Amino acid sequence: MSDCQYTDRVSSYLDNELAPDESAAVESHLRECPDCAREFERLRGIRSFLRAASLPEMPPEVLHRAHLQCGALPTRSVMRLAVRLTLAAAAVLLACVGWLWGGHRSLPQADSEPTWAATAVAYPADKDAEASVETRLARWFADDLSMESGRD
Amino acid sequence: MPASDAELVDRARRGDEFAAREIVDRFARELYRAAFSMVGNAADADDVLQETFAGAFRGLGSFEGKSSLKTWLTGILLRQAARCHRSRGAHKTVTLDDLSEPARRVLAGRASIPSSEDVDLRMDVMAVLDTLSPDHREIIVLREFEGLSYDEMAEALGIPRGTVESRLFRARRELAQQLRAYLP
Repeated sequence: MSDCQYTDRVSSYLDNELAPDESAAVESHLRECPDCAREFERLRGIRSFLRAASLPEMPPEVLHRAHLQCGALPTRSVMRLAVRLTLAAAAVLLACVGWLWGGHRSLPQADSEPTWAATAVAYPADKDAEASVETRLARWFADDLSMESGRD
Repeated sequence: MPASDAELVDRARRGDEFAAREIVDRFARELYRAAFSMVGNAADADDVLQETFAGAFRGLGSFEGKSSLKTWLTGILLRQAARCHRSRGAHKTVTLDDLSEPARRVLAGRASIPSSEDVDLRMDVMAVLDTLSPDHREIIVLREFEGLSYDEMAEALGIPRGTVESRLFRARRELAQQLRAYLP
């Protein structure tokens, strides 16, 4: 392979893809540089080889199958409807999530005081009949003292 | 007066089945040959072509008309061919066997090939293409079989024009290396 500074331009020259002044410069160079001239001939030979292959013609059944796809065209109106339905479904989903979330927040907290504790009625003070002897004696003294203070 | 590509696309977008069929009729043959060159066999070429049109009709809304319809379709075909290659497994290094006599004559710059030797030559070309890396095979097919310009290849591949030039240069070097025994 040629390592001349023009070597990488020979490929583009072969394809006729160089600007006119560049193309003229490469053309002139090919007349003077045997390495690049040989490179150009190699590329032409490879191109002829590739293009000489007659690729198979498309079988009729392949064309027929491609035609069948034409009957399933998604039209613009169908696409717009699909987009609208998708947006509507997304909005409904968001609304449901919002409703569930809001309902969840109004439920009593797990660590709050149990209902029975808040509403339980305090057990009435023990009655005399059930109180111990010491308790009844203490009450008698308390009651008596309160009566004497009232007489003074 | 046949409808322009832009008119066909516009009508197909609105659900005109006849416009879609016209698009298929206009491009299927070339695209099939490109697909065959890319994947090397008729069955995969058929699949790639069908997937190309299926993708094109689904994505008609994304065609902006900045490139030609052919270039746009070719870009879709290349992606489908790459998918086909991936589904086959990793690219293997292929050693080129002896080329047929017709192939040698062409490479040596001698006379044209009789049609009776076409099949041998085609098999040799497919074998040579199979030795290339996927990127190099792709760009060789676009240039030598599809006849796309550098700007069209840049559009189809989504790469800058400068990259097209350098990639094509390296692809041809790789080809020349594979065929060195047969080149003058």
